[in-house]
Amino acid sequence: MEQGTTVWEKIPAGTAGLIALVLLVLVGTFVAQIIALGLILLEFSLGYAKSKLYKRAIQNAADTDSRLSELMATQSADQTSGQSLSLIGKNNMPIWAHQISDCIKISTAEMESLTQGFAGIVGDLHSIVSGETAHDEISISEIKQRLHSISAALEKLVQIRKESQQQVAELSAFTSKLEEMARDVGSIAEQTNLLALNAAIEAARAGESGRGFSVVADEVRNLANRSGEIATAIIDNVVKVNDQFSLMEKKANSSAQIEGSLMEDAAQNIDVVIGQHEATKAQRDAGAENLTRLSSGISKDIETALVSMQFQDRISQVLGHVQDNMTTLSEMIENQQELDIEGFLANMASEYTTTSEREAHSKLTGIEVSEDTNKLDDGEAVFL
Amino acid sequence: MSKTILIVDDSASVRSVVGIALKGAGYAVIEACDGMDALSKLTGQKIHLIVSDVNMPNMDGITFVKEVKKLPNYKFTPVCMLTTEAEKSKMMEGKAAGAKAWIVKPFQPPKLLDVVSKLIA
Repeated sequence: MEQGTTVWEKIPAGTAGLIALVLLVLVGTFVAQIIALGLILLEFSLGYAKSKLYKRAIQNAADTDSRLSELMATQSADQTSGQSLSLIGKNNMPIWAHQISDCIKISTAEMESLTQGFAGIVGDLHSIVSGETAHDEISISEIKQRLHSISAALEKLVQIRKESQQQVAELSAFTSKLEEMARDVGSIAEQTNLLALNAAIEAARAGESGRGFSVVADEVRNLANRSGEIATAIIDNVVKVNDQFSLMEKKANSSAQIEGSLMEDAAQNIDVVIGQHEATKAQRDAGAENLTRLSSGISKDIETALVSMQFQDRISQVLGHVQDNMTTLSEMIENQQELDIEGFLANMASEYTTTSEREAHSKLTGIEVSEDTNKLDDGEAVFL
Repeated sequence: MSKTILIVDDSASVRSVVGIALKGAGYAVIEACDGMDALSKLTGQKIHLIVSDVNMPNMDGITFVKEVKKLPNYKFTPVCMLTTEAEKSKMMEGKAAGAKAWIVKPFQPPKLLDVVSKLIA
């Protein structure tokens, strides 16, 4: 307040009036009266001026006091803020960094589990569809092959039976010839017997000289009788063989008819079974095709979902950078280092790995993060 | 005999997604979680293509490509980078290291398969 004091302020109030009064008493002249009046006016002027100066000084003092209070308050607030920031850097920021780290670990682990689960589902769907188709193909192929082999075996059996019938028929013809030959032998034996008889008669007429010839004639006759008996026996046997052949032929014909009928039935049944199986297979193929289509759709949906899950990688990277920056900042605060905000921001920018981080940094700070304004338009480049 | 592709990425979910896309197209797949792990798996077996991330712990993708180019059995194996990095400067760094293609995540499987078929053919 001393700085605002002037010379005028040091003159006691009423000094000019007192001088004027002394002049009037001692001199009493007109000039003295004029001087006294002037001194009185001067006194009024000085009083007014002092009043103004005092008011201004008081106002200045009040303003200064106010500014000083504000300054002190600001200093106090700054001190409080600095202490708070230090505490935040020491206590809160490590907790936040730790929590971000936990979030990264949890989301990464869960996302890995989820993607592996989806990958398993996609693999299972592929396996189910391919396995079902392969099984069907083997099954229908085997059934056809086996049924056709049975049918072929039956046909061959019938063919063999027909050939046997043919051979029996041929044998029957042979035995007929044998019978005819045996009858010829019998006929020859009868004629030989007659000749032997005539020879014996002629030998008897010859008397004693024909006795030897008579013995020969008797032996020839015996042989003829014996030949006739053998021929008769052959004929009997041939007749019996023919009867057996006839019986066999009848039975073979009957069996052939039955087998032919069975063969036709079997062939028809095989065709029916194959037809039914093919119809069933066609239905199953349609179902499998539908299943394949649905599986493919599900697989594509899951693959699309998996593609979307790539966000986890980017989020982990961004959160990792935030965590690193918080840790660095916390250490700086804890170590009471001078905060070089520009340097810190530049360091943050150098760690970015995604376009979104760089764009956000530029947008929020007004600082261009990357000198490289060229971005891959379609996210792909092949250098071949 | 299907062709074999080595997938290198620190994110298991990304490895799964890439694996599903490649297996679905008939490729056999081997997985590694970073550059070091991938190098330990290059032990002589035929690898037709490597699909690698860039930002990974232990050994990043660019360093990994440089190391692969030093291996006699694998120096001609094509490498496709699959990364969140879309900066052309970074891409040119990859190209200089020896990468043959660059795909930015998130990727679409048909696009990946298109690039893979170009590199393997």
